[in-house]
Amino acid sequence: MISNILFMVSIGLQLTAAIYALLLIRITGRKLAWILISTALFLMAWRRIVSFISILTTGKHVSLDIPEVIALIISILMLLGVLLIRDYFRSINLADARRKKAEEEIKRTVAELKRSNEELQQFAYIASHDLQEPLRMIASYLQLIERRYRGKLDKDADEFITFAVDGANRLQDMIMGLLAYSRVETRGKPFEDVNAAEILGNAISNLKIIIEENGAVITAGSLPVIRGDENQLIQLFQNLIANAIKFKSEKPPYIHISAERKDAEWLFSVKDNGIGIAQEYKERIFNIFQRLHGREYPGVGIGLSICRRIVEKHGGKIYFESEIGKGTIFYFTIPIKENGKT
Amino acid sequence: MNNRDNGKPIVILLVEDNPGDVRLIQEVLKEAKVKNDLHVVYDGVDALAFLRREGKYKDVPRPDMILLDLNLPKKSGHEVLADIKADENLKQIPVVILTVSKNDEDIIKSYNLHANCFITKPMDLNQFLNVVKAIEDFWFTIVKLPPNRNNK
Repeated sequence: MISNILFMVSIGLQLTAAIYALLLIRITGRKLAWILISTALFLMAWRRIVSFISILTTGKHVSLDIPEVIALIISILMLLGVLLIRDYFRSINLADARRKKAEEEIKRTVAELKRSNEELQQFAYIASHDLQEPLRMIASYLQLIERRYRGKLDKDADEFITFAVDGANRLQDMIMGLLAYSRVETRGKPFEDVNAAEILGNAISNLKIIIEENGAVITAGSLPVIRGDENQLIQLFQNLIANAIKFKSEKPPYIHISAERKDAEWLFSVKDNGIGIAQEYKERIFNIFQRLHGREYPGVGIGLSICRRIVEKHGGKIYFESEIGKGTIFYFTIPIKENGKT
Repeated sequence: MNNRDNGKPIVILLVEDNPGDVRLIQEVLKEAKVKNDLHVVYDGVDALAFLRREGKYKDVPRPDMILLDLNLPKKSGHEVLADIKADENLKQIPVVILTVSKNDEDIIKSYNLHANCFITKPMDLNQFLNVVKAIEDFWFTIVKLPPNRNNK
């Protein structure tokens, strides 16, 4: 009696399993369909399959006297197994989908950053380039007025013209400075091996006039071959040397350039005997249009910003040590790259 | 023979859309040593009409030199240059590109189209004066220009 009831329950469960299997096919899709269908069929027919195999192998009908309870447990275990397999596949799919989504998100963000960075560079370049056109008009006509009418109007007018011309010239210098600053990115060339001694030689020859005018003496230790953008490195040395000369003390400027190897980078130093810089300005001095002096020193305050941008583009750092009245040493680092790597 | 030799002024066609630049060049040329007759057109289409003496330009003289800006309305400076250099009647006239562009592509393209020289407008008035003086010295004093065949 009990075994009959158990048998009925077992049949019922097997049927239920088959129905679930069909439902699962709908939910999970085609991949698992065959596993589930064959499992359900097996659950319903395993007894007959076993006796069929036993006839094939031993030639006689073996009645498998497995209690219905065990059959039930096996059926349930198999169903659970199928469900576990299904969950496993589903979780893999889910994790895969999540990973793909995250990857896409990162890709999108990188593209977005790249685009906005490019846009910014373009903006700086276009703004400074296009701003020059109207400014050229203002400056040219002010200069024309100055040229034609200086001394022909009253003293006030001459003074006003001087201020206006001066303002236009300064604005022009600032725009040119911004243009030069933005060009560090937009006009950069691929890095190659360059001899720092030659770079320094070029910078010095570009500064020939101010070096001679100020009686500056420039010496250098032995300098290495480094990887970088030749023109930008020339500009870097040029700006640092020009600054050393501009901010000279009463003594004639003496500037020494040297380089030493520190781990995986070259540490360059440009040492002068100028007026020195207070430590409190160690950050500010590298910011665009930030100046520590008034009109007694010409310039708009872009030279060191360009230096920092060039050094950072080469993967290095720039900073200084200074003593007021004694002089300043500007340091910058350029990473040493193995051959073949960029 | 060059115009200058028989006392006639040098005829210059300036193709420039910025009135500020036009006036500046006029002012600078006023101070020039060589007598000159400056004609101004403001776009590329008018430039070619002037050179071919079409429409309202039927009585204009043939220029001894063309000062050509690149950024022009209607027809760009490069297009005007290409048309001039493709025209049997016009191609001997020296064309000086005078523009704000410092762009390598613009420069190369101009010379490929047979521009006779390419000058970037300087920011500073004194440099601008020097440039116009240099044009004057080089093209009107040093260089022998082709004889002006059908000048009126």
